[in-house]
Amino acid sequence: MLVDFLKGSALALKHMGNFIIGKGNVTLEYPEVKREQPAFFRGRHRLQRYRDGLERCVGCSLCAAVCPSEAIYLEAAENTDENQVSAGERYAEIYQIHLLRCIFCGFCEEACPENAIVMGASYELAMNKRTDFIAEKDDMLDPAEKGFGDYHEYDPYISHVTPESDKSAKGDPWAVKAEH
Amino acid sequence: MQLPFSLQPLFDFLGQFTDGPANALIIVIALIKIALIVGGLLQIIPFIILFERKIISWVQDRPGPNRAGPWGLLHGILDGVKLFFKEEITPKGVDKPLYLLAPGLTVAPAFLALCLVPVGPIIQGAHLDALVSFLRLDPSIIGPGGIISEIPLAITNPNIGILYVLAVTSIGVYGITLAGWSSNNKWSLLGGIRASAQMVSYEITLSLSIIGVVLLAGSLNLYNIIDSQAGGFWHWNVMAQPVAFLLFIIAMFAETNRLPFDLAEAEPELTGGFHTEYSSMRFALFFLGEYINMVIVSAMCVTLFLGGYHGLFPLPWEAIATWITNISPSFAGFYPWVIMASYLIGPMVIVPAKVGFFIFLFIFARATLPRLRYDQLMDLGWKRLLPIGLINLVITSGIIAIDLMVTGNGQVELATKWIIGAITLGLFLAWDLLYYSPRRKAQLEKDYRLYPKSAKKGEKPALAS
Amino acid sequence: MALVIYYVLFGITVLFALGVLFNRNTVRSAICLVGVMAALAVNYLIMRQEFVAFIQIVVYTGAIMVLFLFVIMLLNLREPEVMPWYLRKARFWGGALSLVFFFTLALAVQVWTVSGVTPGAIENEAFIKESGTPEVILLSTLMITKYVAPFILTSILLLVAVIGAIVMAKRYDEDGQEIISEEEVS
Repeated sequence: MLVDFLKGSALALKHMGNFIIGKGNVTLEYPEVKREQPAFFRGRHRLQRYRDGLERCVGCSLCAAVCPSEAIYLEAAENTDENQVSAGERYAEIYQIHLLRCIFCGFCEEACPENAIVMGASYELAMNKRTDFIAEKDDMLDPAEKGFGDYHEYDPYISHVTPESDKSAKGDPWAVKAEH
Repeated sequence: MQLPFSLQPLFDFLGQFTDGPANALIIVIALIKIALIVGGLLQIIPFIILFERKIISWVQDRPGPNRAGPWGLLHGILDGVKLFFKEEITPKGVDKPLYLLAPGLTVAPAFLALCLVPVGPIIQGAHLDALVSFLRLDPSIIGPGGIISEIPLAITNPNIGILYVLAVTSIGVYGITLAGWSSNNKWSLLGGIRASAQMVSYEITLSLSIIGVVLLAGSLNLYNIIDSQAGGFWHWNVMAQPVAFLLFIIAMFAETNRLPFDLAEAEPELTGGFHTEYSSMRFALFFLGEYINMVIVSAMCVTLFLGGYHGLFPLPWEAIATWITNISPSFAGFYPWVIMASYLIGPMVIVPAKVGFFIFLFIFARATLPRLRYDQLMDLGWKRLLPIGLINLVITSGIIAIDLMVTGNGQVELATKWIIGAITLGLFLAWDLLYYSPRRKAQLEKDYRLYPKSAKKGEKPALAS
Repeated sequence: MALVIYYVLFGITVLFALGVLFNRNTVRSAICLVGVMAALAVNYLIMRQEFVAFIQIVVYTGAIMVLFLFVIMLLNLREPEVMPWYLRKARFWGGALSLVFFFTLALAVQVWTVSGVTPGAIENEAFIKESGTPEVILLSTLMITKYVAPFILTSILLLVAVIGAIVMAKRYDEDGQEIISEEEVS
């Protein structure tokens, strides 16, 4: 009995000693170190652009239609020659997602024909006010400059595709859409 | 060396209100000691809590609290501040007077027991004389021949010391029991009932393990008990009473309601146990009482078994002081400082180190051992520890009686202590190895295993009948 | 000063004792009894009987009253709604008997103080003061020399009581065979 007791204590002591000399730590100290998310992670939404800065979203409202919790609100407007926002005929003038209603199911990115809305890798969703949880279009849109993050194409198995890895298979996803 | 002014007029002035300057002096000395010991302990408790959280997380391979302050040093203090500012909620249907009384009844006995812990030797004789002449007090009031002839470095030093500690710690159970009863909550009530039966059961073990030490010292006075262990670690009572030492440690875990005996607040079964309905400072008082109790039983264990304020090896302080003075005449001023160091090393270094070891043991056991079931707890207390304690006591007292009859000097010899230790420890280990044989251990494992060992991985195992 | 403390203590003791009598809530009543025990211990302390005082606390306050509370809480006793007949009768007879008892005691104390007859424990007090031996040693010496017969008889009485309690707690069937419940077997 006493021996078994000491055996158990020795195991705990070993773990403690290992930690003190710096081995066996399994904790990531979160605000300083962030965990790498897997490719299929469904985090905060992103609205993507083409390489020339035009938005991919054409305001078709398929995402709003498919959303099971009705978290997406979208108003479309026509593109004009003076104000060419997206690559198609129309663009989303207002695009809001209520993040408190969103259940992060990923149906929107599945439904999107243009690969415009995708689920990003960011999981830092805390806000100070309830109104802050309504994500406006500007909050989600990728910055207009070049080299803005990874291209993100919906794929039921692998979601994050970088331009380099994708080029060989599907051509250049960043390419300017020809028709406009 | 002397103070530039005398303190005597101050006590003469205070003496007008207290029936003479001697009484004023007694009160002032007691107040200083209380301020130092109680105040010091209260400062340390947040850090004990932090230490606990750190040790537990290290055992579990994680860094533990490290957000507030360097190494998370402010966590304990911030916890206290948070509890202080929380809302106090009194649930409906509580027995109000008892509900309010219970937290106090947990903390007060803990503080009462604190005033007996001897943290250093008694200042008396020439050293007291030197101190008195340094403070320029009246030697007829305080001094080797005065009304106050000694200053023990403990708040008080009554003759029945260890009995006082037992009495006061046995009152501590009322806080938990009443908290459980008055909360008007069945989980609290169950916690209170468990605590009362558990504490009464383990108090017997505690007392039995103490009696052996009292026999060895021939006195109930804590200073006499410590003096009987003077002269190096081979004189300590742990050498004479190893089995009693083990019993004391087990019983002290049970008395403080710490894991593996924290059935009164078993979180998986009773939500919070007896303190479920308490919040804010009332809850903090329960916590405070638990930690002070931990420190006190640790200090008692140190006093009874580990030689109290005596170090591992005896140091001839007087000789060292004289030797330093003899090196060069310019070192002559160091003599009183060395003597002072000999008094301060107990409260500053040795006692904190030894108590700290036991605090670590408390925390380490919490990180390591699973909680006992209630019937196992009672089995352990009444069927194992009590007989072991009784047999240990019979052997100890028998050998001490033989020793006293042979030598007739009223003192237990060192060799006798070792013989007692060897015999009791040998018998205990023999019992342990024979009783818990591999066959019985296999049987026990089979009895207590919830799932049969043969269950395959990924398959839902059937409950063992 | 000591007299003031004594009177305050007297008041507290009486208050607690009245609390035991007049509290209808069993737990509060038990707590008042704890208070009485503690106050008695302080009383012993004032009389310089430290050993007796702390034994009083250890045994009565620390063990017996805890078990009282344990039993009360385990049975979950509530305030009785209707007073049973024997308690209604007991009010009168109990009150009368305790009055008689009180006056007898007062008379006895009066006789003691007047006649100078003191009970056995006090006759050693002067001896304790003079010899300087700790009272624990004196008490234990007395207990195993002069009062050894009562001491052993009391021990036997307690042992018999314990065995009797166990026997009473066991259940028997019609043939006088002991019934062992399933819990005990497992």
